[in-house]
Amino acid sequence: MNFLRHDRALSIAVVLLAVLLVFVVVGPWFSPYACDEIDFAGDWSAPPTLAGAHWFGTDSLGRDLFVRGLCGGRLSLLVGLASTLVSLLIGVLYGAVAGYVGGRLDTLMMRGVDVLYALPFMFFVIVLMVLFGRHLLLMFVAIGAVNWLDMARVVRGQTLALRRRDFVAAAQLSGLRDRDIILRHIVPNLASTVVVYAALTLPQVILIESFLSFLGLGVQEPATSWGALVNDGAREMETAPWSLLFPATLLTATLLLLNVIGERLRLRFARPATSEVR
Amino acid sequence: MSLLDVRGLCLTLDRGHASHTIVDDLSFTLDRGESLAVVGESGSGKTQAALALLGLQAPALRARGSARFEGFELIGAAAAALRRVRGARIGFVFQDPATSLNPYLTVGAQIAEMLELHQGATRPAALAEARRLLDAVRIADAPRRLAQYPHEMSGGMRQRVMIAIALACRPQLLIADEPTTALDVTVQQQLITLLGDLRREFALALLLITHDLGVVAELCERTLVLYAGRMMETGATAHVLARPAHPYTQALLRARPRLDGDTRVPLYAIPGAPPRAGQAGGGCVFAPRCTQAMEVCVQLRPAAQGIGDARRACHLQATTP
Ligand SMILES: Nc1ncnc2c1ncn2[C@@H]1O[C@H](COP(=O)(O)OP(=O)(O)OP(=O)(O)O)[C@@H](O)[C@H]1O
Ligand SMILES: [Mg+2]
Repeated sequence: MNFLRHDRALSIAVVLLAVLLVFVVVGPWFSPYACDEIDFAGDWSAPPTLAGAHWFGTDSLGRDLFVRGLCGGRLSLLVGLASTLVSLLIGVLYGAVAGYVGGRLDTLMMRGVDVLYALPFMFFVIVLMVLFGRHLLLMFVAIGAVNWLDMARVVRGQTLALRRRDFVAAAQLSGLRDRDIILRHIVPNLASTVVVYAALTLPQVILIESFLSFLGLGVQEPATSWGALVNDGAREMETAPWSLLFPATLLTATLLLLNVIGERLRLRFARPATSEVR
Repeated sequence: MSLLDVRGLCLTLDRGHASHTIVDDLSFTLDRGESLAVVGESGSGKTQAALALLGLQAPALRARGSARFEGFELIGAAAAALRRVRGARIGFVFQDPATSLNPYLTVGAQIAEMLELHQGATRPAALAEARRLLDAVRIADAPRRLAQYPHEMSGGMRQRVMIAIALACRPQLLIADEPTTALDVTVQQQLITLLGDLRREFALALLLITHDLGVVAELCERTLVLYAGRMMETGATAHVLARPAHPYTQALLRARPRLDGDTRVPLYAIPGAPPRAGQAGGGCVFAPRCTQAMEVCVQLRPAAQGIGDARRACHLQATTP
């Protein structure tokens, strides 16, 4: 954690993101309104006021935009985290097995990845959403399952280098199975690469979710996400620009912070082997 | 029955239709508690031969012949059976302790892993045993050391940890591949003493791979001299080092730096270079560099012959008994 102190950009980004996270997670509990609560006493599409009840105004159905922005953030971040985890799990295992076993299996597995790369990515997710319905959990899995390709490539490159290290040979000479060598000796050594890569994947995934929701393929009313809010806001951006501005700002700020953190971590931790495969 | 009985071990590198012999017809035996040194130049196939005993030679190399450990045939044995031998019955120590330990696991975890794997020990029991093992390899303050990572230790201490890992399951045989080469001289001496002590304490048989003849004299009762994958000479260490019968062994001994020697005389170097894989002809592999080579040496490969333990592969012996 020492490196945090030496990297101003990183530490500022981490603090800001932490504040934002606390707001998003805890905020809705302290708000007088629920996420899907319609304020019948107020106006529809009321403009933001500091004096009034709705700091960021209300949407076209009279729901408080402040609390909806936070609730949307909960969902966007949740989808982001879950999908990143899914892609991490698949990518690390796939890449580690390909890199460790090597030879023909490696060639086969990595050509498989190449083929998947060639598929139009968004199209793939959209097909999955249409096929399996717009289930939230499925969205996690769908995004994660498509997004593991980069992770698999990076991890494979790292594993190829690790495979030649003496401690792997020592583990084999100790009678360990390949499975245990991968899980107990290779994977922990991948940690720094994987953390960096996960930090860079997270904003990507949040963006994909927002994009899907913007297209109307994502979350369903009354639940919402930043993408869905931006979509709602865009429809009435001429009459009520705040309903677009507020969620869009939150989304952009989060993505920016995550990208800064990921990039700084990459500079700090990524080993030469990582850049070699990219 | 000897503990380890190697007969006609061959390692070949098959590339298409060309086949290079890396280790050729290697035979030796090792009794319980006995120690054998395998010496030879770099690239003579020492490491690969030792790895082949556990089925872990380089993937490109194919092993043939026979190696029986406690009567169990190791060459060509099933993977699962070999895994039960590796680490549990035969311990292995590598040359470079800096890279043979996993940098992301504590020393305790790496020792405990062996006991959990082979003896089904629980983590607390395994850690308690790990502490005893660190004591056994003379690492002071064992409880604190167990929680440390390899980078927090010196090279000599890491090699002690490697030895502790190799001995964790009380193997009958320890194979040490140049265990002191990567360390500085004072630490080397400490480790050699330690290995000698541990051999007695653990009733170990030792297969020591090295090119340091000083270590050989100190640790091993018997010596086997390997050149370009072929056995040149073997016998009691005292005998081989004091009265080498093979011209290669003689040259090896002459090429050895001596502290009491005259420093103005340049160190003797064996002329020429070892044959590259696949270059050896039909005769004795050492013939091109041998000062006493005869016509027969280039044409006919000498068979290993001798009385009992002392054997050598050289035509000279036939002509000068
Ligand atoms: N991965 C490999 N693939 C193919 N051939 C190999 C491989 N590793 C080693 N060899 C061959 O095996 C021969 C013997 O190598 P080995 O490592 O056993 O030598 P060594 O006697 O242990 O040398 P050193 O004293 O330098 O450790 C080498 O000359 C090389 O030709
Ligand atoms: Mg070697």
